[in-house]
Amino acid sequence: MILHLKLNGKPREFDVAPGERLSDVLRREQCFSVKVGCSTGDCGTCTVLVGGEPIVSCLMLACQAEGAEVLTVEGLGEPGRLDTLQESFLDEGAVQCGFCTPGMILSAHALLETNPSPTEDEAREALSGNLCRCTGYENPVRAILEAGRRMAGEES
Amino acid sequence: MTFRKFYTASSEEEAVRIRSESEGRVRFVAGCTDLLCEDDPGEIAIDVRRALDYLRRDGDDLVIGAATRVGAIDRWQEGADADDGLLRKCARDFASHQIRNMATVGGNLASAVPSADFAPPLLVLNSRCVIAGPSGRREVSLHEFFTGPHQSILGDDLLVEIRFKAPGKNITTDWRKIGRNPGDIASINAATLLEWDGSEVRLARIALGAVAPTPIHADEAEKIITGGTLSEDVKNRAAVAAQQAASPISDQRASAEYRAHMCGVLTKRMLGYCAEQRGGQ
Repeated sequence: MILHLKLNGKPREFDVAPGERLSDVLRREQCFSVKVGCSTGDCGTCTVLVGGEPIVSCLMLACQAEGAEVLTVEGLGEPGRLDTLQESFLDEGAVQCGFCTPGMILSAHALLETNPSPTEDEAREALSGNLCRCTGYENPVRAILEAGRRMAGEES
Repeated sequence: MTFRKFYTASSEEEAVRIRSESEGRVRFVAGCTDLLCEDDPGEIAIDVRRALDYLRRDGDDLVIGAATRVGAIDRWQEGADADDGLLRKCARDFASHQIRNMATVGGNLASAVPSADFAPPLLVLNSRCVIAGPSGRREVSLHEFFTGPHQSILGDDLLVEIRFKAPGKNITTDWRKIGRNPGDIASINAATLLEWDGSEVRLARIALGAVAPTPIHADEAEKIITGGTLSEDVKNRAAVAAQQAASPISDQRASAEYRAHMCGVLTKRMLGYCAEQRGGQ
């Protein structure tokens, strides 16, 4: 089947099998930021935004994304110029092994789009579906709050 | 094995027609959050999200399209106003925020797992299921929907929507869930709806999940509560009756003894909370 979607802002067409998962199609199409940890929707490493909302791409059939806008970390910033969230994840030391990081950044991105100055509780809630096995939640939470402040500063 | 065909149905009728014309193992799909965890989900997928994703009021009824996502229930103000926030509380305890953006209320019921989170709240709201098949629509009480673990009366038919009569203003409700964390699959879940007449309970409904082959009503506990005030003695007797209503199994999540015991504990907590809310009005 031919799947039409807007991937990271660009209209794209992919030939997909009816039973293929969105995570597998995205990785085949070079979106290697999409990690597949558990394939059962528990870990959140395959999180992408569909229509601006975080979903786990391991539990969505690729065909179900027909016509949708899909955002992966490849769609943030530009080569050589990180976006604000990526920059603050670096500055706050929020990355250890890095496997959960793309999913966390997209969950955080969705939060900041709707709530530009979240509380710490809201930041924690937004990350609650992204498991980190290096035990690194403190720094990502700080990075989200810092990114929110930086974005507010950029606008003023 | 995985799907070899995928259809998107734009209406209930189209979904039913594609199913009746298809040969092989057909599945209606929506959020896919249970389905894609199965080893062999089926051969033909019919996506019903486009047809059945809606929340509306129809006369005295509130109507939840089967493909309404859990996250939409959280944001459904009309529903929360009518049911004293019961379904919203349940939605907020449901899995992770990613799953809440995918999983649907109809899928939660149609999977028919004994621990389905939306079963106890929808049972105490006295919900009915609208089901469609080749011979047309039928309406069945949710009480008659579940027949065993992973089994319901659906067969090859499509769960279209869930309807319940908006309760009156004199209600208090509560929802409880025990698991390792709120997003976990429930070891025990429970919902209560009390309708009050002054300080007396005019109508009581208590439903319990993951403590029997299907979600159940604590019938005896409901009888004990109905028609009087919620004294300490009444709450204690209702708790014992709720515990006796359970016929749980032991598994990796909880022992049978713990599950039965917690039916009593949660019932007492829910009644206490409802009485407190009522007292505060």
